[in-house]
Amino acid sequence: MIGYFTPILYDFKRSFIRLSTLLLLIIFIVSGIGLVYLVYVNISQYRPLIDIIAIAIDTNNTCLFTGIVFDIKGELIDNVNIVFKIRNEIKYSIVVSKYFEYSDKKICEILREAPMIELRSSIGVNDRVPGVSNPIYVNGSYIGIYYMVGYAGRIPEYSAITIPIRQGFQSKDIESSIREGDYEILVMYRVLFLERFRARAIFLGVDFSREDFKLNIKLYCLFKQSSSVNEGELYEIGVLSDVRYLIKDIDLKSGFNYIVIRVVKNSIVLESQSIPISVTYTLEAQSINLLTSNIGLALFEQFFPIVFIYLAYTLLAKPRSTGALEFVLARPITKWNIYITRYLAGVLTALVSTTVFLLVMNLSYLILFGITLDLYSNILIFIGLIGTLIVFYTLCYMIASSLRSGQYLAISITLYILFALLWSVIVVFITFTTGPPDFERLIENSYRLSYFNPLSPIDWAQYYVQKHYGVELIPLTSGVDIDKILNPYLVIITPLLWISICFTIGYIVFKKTVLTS
Amino acid sequence: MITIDHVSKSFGFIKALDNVSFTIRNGEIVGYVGLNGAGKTTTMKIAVGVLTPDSGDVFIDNYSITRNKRIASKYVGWVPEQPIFEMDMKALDYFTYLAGYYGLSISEARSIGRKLLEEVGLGNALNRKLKEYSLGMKRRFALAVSMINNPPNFLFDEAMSGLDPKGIAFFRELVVKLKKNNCAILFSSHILSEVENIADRVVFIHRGRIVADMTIDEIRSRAKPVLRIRIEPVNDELINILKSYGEPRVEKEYVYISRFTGDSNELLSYLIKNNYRVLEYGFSRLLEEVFFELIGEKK
Repeated sequence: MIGYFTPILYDFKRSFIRLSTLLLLIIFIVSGIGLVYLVYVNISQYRPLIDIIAIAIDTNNTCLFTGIVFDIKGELIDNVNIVFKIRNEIKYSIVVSKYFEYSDKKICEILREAPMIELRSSIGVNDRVPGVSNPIYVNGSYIGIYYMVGYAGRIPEYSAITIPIRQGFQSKDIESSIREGDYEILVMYRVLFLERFRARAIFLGVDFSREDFKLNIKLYCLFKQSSSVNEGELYEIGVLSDVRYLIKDIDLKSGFNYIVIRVVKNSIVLESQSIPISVTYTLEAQSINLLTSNIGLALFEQFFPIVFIYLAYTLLAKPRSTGALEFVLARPITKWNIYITRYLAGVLTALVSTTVFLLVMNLSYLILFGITLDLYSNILIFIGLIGTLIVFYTLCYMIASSLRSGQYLAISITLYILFALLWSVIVVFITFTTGPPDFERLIENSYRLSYFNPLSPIDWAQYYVQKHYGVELIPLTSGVDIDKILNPYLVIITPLLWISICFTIGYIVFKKTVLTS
Repeated sequence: MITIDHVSKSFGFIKALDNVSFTIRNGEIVGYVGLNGAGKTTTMKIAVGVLTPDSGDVFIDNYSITRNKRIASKYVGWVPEQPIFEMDMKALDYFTYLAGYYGLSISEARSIGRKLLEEVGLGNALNRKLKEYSLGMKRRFALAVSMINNPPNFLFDEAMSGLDPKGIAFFRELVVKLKKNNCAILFSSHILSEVENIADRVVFIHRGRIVADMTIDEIRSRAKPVLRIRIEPVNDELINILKSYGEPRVEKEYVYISRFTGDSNELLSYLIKNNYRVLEYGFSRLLEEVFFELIGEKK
């Protein structure tokens, strides 16, 4: 029984461990790593692996540098080296952990020169530029200039700021402070999305008020259309009073959400400010959106099928043309055994190459982001890639069973060009020749016609993964409901039909073929 | 034992085999003789199961090759006339690959492969790609493959053509050894002298039909002896002398005397005495004579 697998293993070895397959796999692995790095660079612009909310309070005699350091998920972390650089020269360096308070007059002196602040830890490196505020006066007395280490290149303001949409995602980073009369409160915060409607809010609050005027800062969530506050609608997040920082996971709702910051003295609300929070994509969703874009898996999907054209040629078309299969058939086997063994070798190659590709991609994610795609997404992408490769391989295998080498190559390459490169042109042509040339019909047709393209399974998998992460594929305003077009049963049945029909036709032809050269 | 049972096969309008039947018994070497295109290779391909007959069947140790191919093929080894392999593979790897179909594990197959390839003289080319092999080496490789599971029946299709004298001698010894092991052997060859030397029986095929099935003794008794002489000079006087012994004819540097009668030793002495330079002298090509007589064609 073990011996019977020897031919499959050898056919697999011949198909997988060949220069062309390995070379292309290496290219795709390198592309995969490059792709993850690209996603990393893109995301880290507004969602760094290590981050800091800190403030340096500069008074006449002291400089207190205080804040928190946390990772991409909002967990406080240890041993972050903060390096202050001016024109690439290191001027100062300290190592801090979680929440820190550090006094040194020199820090404020350096901060006045607007240094670059570099955060270094075992999980990554991140650059920050501190912002400088105007001097603060409490009861008419100057208490200092403070430096907020906030967002790169952005000077913090006293009012809530809305960060412009970049890269299609709305930023979750908002800084706010509240000021009134003789008291001064500064609240800096970050909101990191853990799940679609679940976020981690990180607050750092500083009370600059007079010693006898210490306040409570109450933090709430408000889910409604407008920012006007009705007491019953407030959901309390926490209180900043004795503690300088607060980290809370908050549940949000679809639509509008606000964080309400209230300054309270003896149960009297002195100040209330509502800052809008847009429900946006999680880190995984952001990365999956980039990953499944044209520069992502599409690369693997578009070009790896070429290997399978070549594999069907090497495993079936060529030996059949030269007559080499005749010698194999003289063994105690039937044509069925030859047909299935070589087919399985190609399938095994698809399985192994896809597994290697996804493993490397996940590993790259783990190293760069500290996260991997969830199991559901991995399984979907795996099935999508495998489905695409196997369907296309089966199609090529069917052609290889009935045509000689030259004809096989001509037809399979033509089909590849048709399905991989010209398909969108065909969709446009059909759409524009069968009705009004509008965008909605184009989108609908691209999904309707996808059942006839053997390379579609990965597109379907990408759609369901993006849906899983709440990434909108089509602008909502388009009015196209892909769920109504893309039938999940057909999505499963179509590749199986492609495989079984091509495989069966191929075998019927192969059975009748004389294997003599 | 191999039984070819009323096998017919056509390729389009061409009838390659027409009701071919004969048997190769255990411990018997049967020569298969015919012109190019007579149907020898087609018979062997059907017998080994790589071609399907239009009608009839082949039984290998009583297993039908059409109905029980997987079992029947275990009992027969085949060396094709044109060994075509997947040339990008290394010899030992390809051997191991094919051995897998006999149920051998990789380690077993590689061990047997090394042994058999060494036996056929390919011990120093185990890891060379098959495309680097000469025709002779390919035949030796096919021979080694045919012995993977030590089958009791063998089909050798022109196995000696393309082999050097050492290779031919090796093949001859092998066939004799297999016969001693009670194997049934069918082999075709254009080297008819080798067929005469090795075969116990000869099956003649012509235009897809079996025209005769004779033992070597029957062939010898049927054949008119032909004396072949390589002699100098060849002139009219010589031809006149030879006419009194049979029907002389000149072919290149040889003179053939068919239907020879008289004392061959006496003729040799006479020729030497009369200053003819005799380079080769002897009777030959019984089989060829019989074959052409059977098919009713001139050489």
